[in-house]
Amino acid sequence: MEAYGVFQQEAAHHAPDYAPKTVTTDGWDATRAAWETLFPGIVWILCFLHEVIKIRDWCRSKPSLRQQLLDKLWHVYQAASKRHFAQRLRRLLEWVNTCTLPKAIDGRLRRLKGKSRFFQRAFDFPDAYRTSNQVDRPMNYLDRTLYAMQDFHGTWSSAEQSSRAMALLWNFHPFCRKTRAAMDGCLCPFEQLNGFRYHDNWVRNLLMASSLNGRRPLPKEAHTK
Amino acid sequence: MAKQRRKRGTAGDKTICLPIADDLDYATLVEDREAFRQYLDEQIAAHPELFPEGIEAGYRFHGWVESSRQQIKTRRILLPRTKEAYQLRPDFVMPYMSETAEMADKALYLRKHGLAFEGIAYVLGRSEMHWYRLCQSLGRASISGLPLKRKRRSPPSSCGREAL
Repeated sequence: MEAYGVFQQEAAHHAPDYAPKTVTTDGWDATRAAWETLFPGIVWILCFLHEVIKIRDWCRSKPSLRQQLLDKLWHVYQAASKRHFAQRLRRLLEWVNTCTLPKAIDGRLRRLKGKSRFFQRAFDFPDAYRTSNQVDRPMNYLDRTLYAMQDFHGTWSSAEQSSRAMALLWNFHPFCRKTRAAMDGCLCPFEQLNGFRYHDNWVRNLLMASSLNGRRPLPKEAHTK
Repeated sequence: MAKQRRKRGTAGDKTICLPIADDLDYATLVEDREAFRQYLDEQIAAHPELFPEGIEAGYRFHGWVESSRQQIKTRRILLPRTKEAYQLRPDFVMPYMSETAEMADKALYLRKHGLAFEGIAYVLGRSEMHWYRLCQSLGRASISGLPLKRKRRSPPSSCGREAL
């Protein structure tokens, strides 16, 4: 709650009328409760990828079953509408009834029925993310960096400042040449989000964006070309 | 009774990072009051999101800050309406004039790829604490305010999660 609260406060200061419509998380109640408290009226969507990964991890020693289940689960995910999704999930559960699966996997699959409505909410918001892998990628980087430095060594506030600095570095780091070419010369995630950059040098771009520490409410109409 | 001192804000909250075009001689520009004002007005018109609210109503120059580390002069401005002063730091130096952007570019690139501060000091010189402080100083900025500069780019939804 505290960590998401920091985001809420900074976002409220930067764009006072910003209110996210949806949030996609894993099924942890505390995360869900935090978002629903901080942003009243937000719609919680359950991440489908988390369910797939949980089921996949239970059949590591059975590669053929693993592949079969992954294919079936992603087939359900690729449904075009709520109705399709429910229908494909029903077919999957019928298939579960006809075969003998290990108890843990069987239980996991049967639990999908109760969670179906939380997955289906995403169809009401075509722009919403249905999985949380947009967050997983930067978190992979954070995990690797922290592992390499054997976690934090100083005070709580210095650890907080370090992780914030890592997050900002991630948002402004230059893409590799291959990615830049594939994205029509886009320099960094900042440019990808805003559609422009201040400078061709990524650090100068970061420094300009950090004017006033970024603590200035957004102007009504930015005139930046 | 002694007057209570105002609480000190976060370092950098009153520093404007001024974009300086590559072909511009900053040292000459900063000394020429009229040329500097004209340049500043152009930048305010082009990038209003980098300047404090209310700057459109006018500002006046409010002294200098001289950096002995980087040997440069920076101007300060005062917004008469809010009575708040801001420092105008050129974009080719880091906060607190601790390093040039050119050197910081290399150090932060290495840091992004996970190189230890000791390694950065070995490659670029100076001490590991110098590079540590430089990286830490980035953490003072707003996480949501820095990357997002246009309102219509606000994400329609968010995704948060705990570790898989």
